[in-house]
Amino acid sequence: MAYVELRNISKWYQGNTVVHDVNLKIEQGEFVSLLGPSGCGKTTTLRMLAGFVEPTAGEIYMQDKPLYSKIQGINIPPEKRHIGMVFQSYAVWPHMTVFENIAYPLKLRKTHKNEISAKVSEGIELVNLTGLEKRYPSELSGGQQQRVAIARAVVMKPALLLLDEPLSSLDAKLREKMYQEINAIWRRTGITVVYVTHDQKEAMALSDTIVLMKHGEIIQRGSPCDIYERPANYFCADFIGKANILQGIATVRGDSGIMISKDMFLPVEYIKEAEEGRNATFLFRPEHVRIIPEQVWNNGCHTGYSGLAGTITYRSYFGSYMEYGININYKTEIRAESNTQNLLEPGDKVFITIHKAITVQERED
Amino acid sequence: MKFRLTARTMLFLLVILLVLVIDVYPMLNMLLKSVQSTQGLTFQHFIDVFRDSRNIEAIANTFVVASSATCLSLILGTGLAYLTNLTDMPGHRFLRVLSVIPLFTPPFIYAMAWQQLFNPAGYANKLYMVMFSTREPLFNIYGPAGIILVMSAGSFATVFLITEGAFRQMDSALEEAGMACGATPMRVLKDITIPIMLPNILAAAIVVFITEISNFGIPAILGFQVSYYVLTTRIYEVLNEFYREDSFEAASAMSIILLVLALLSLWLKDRAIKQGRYEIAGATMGQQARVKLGIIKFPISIFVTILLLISSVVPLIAIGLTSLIKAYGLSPHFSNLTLANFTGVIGLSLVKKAFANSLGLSVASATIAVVIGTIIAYILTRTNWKIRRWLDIAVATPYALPGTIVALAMILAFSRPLPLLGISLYNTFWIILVAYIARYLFFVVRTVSAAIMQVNPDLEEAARISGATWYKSIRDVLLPQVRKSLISSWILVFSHTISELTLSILLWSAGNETIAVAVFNLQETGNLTSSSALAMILLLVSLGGYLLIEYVNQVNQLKTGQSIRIER
Repeated sequence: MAYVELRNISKWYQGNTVVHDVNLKIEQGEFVSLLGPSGCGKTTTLRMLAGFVEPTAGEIYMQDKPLYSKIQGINIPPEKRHIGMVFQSYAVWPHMTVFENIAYPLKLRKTHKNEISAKVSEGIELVNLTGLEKRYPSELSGGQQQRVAIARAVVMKPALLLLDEPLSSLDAKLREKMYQEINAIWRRTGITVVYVTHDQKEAMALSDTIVLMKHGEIIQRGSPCDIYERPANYFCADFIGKANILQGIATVRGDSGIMISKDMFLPVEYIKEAEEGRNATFLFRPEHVRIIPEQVWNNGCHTGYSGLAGTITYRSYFGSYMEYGININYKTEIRAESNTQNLLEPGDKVFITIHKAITVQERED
Repeated sequence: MKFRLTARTMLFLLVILLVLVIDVYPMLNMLLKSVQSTQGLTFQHFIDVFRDSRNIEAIANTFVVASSATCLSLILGTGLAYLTNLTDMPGHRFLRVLSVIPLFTPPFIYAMAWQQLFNPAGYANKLYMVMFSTREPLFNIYGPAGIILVMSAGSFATVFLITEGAFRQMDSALEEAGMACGATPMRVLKDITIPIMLPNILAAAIVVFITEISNFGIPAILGFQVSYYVLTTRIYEVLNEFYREDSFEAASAMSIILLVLALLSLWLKDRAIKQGRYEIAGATMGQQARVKLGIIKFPISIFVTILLLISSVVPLIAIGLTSLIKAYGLSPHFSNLTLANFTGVIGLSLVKKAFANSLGLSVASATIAVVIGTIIAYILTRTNWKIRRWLDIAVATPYALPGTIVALAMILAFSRPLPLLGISLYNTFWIILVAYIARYLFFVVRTVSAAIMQVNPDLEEAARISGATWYKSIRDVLLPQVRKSLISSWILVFSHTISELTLSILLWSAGNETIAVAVFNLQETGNLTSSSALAMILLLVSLGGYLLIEYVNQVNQLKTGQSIRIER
């Protein structure tokens, strides 16, 4: 049995399904992110793990022992689960000092005084707060409160650490610094982590495994690379990174590519999982689009290839790259990323080729 | 969700049961009594009420007095709010403090104070007669005119506070935006200023109206002398007509009439507020441009100061003087002053008993109300029980309704022996305690739930996940966060109950007098010096309570930015 296991977990409120039949196995020491748009059920899933929300159906096991089981009538209260949690609002108690906050879980476990101060110091060191023990939360910055919350959650060496969008209220710069720190804490403690976020960058940067959720269901589970390279469907591709979509018929024989329409063939350098001759939805990332100005194209540098003709609609500068919007055939808009040299202007005529695309299930919406 | 009968659920159910017994049952029981007879349901009691011309008169008087006082309060209150907030009249800070003094004075003591100024031989009248060498008094306080005057003087601060809030909310940018669109100043007033202000003024008017129809102390002290009755005093009178067999039924039928009046007003207020809660977008309010009054600002300021001194300070000086004078009627020479009234009145065994009773009642009701009220506040803010809405209404009703109704409901509910115990609470200390708790529980529930709502539930959950049981998460995390509100609401209940008259006057019995009842009875028997001395003590105690709350509040505000509103 896996270290943590959710079996057929569902939650509904007054006929409203929030989480539907979720099955999830988490190995010891794994860093798992639950990722999805707001309302996808990720926080509810986390809170069911913590014991704050009672599932409507299913079972939760940790270390082979049931935390919750509808059938067996078991529901271990949060305080007995031995789980650490970091809240979105930090939930650092304002009437207790940094030391008292971190010591509280140990105090409840009737730990000896000397041991408490040793463990708290260890925790404070772990999150780099040394010297602030006697401060009250109101005297700390947001980032420092965040560290207190983390130290408090790990000080009792919990079997599992839950983090509920812990970085969402920090500014971008601090957030990236905290990625590294959370990662370092995870490596040093070897703790099993479930991390809830709606920020794909955060999930990519931190996790072993990303669990992508939508409408209360798990859509895809895999390593960050898996999910980026082989998204299960349009939703996954679009949620993680940017994605373009085209409909057509796959041809693998001879030239591999997509028949967009009878007389329009788009060569694709690499097609994965496309079944020949079938209608398919093709998905490709902006960085896999090559833009060739009309002039260059007509000069014949690309004989032997055909490309899609389009018009630049917009241009956004991102520092390290330039994003272009390209209108194909007056109906499809494609996003492409390119270097910041040889700038094109909106209205410029271009041709595009695509290096790499995969077929996915039909777009749902 | 499955329903589990945990210790916590049991505790909640117990508290809800208590609310049912002390709040819901008495009110419903009274409604029933008013239409019940030995033969079944009847409207006979109402018909009887309307048959007695004295009752009709009382209803009419209630209307006349309450609506006149409301109008007068409205004019004085909005006028003052305008002057202090939107003009450059000097001294507006001082005037604001001055104007709210009557709010912290128990109404019946305030009425006593005015009565000592303006009874036909009162200080002000005497002064006038001496100065203008006439035998005619300037103003006779007894009767409707005096009642209206004292009510207005005591209530306009309420209007002032509510409309002041609205004036402050009015960002002058709103009006400037109107002008920028091309509206003339008159159009701006009509289309922007008045529509934004009106719901608040209306709400203030209704609050005052309800206060006036509920008031017992003022019409009792200024009306009984000349047999002028309003509904509350008439109900008191009817209950004291021992020869009547149907006094309870008649009183409850009259209470229902008062109830309908109050409910109707509450409903109107609700509508006014619903229509008028304009959330002004933007976190910071623009500085209000103050209207320049020019040279007349000094005479206006002096006039307002005199007016406020007369309404706020002079009556209290009068009652203070009476408490220190050897005999009422003596001129206030230094040689005529004495502390004997204080020592004398405290020496009375009846007063000693009353002090013990009042202290016991106030401490007990404040403590019990804080415990129960906190649990109710928790149920209201932290559970999703469907009963919450009804619980909220059940707790708010006894406070929103006139005290006379609540007292009568208590008498009707608890005059019969209690089941199981076989003893009746009627004519005991305990019925007063139950009534106090029922009426003032609302203070605690409102104050504490506001405080709990400020506390992120994550804080308690963080304690749970750290290993704390539910009880420990409340004890170690939630209660320390709301401690200030617990203290404030305790003091609030204490200072209201220590000077409470309306409930006590109907519920007291020999040996169970409260201080307020003692003051009232001494006053009714004409012992003005003693009653004034006692009133002064009462005044200082309740004023001390408010100052204490103000202090707790300020400390609280410094630490958490929360504030707790005081309301009389």
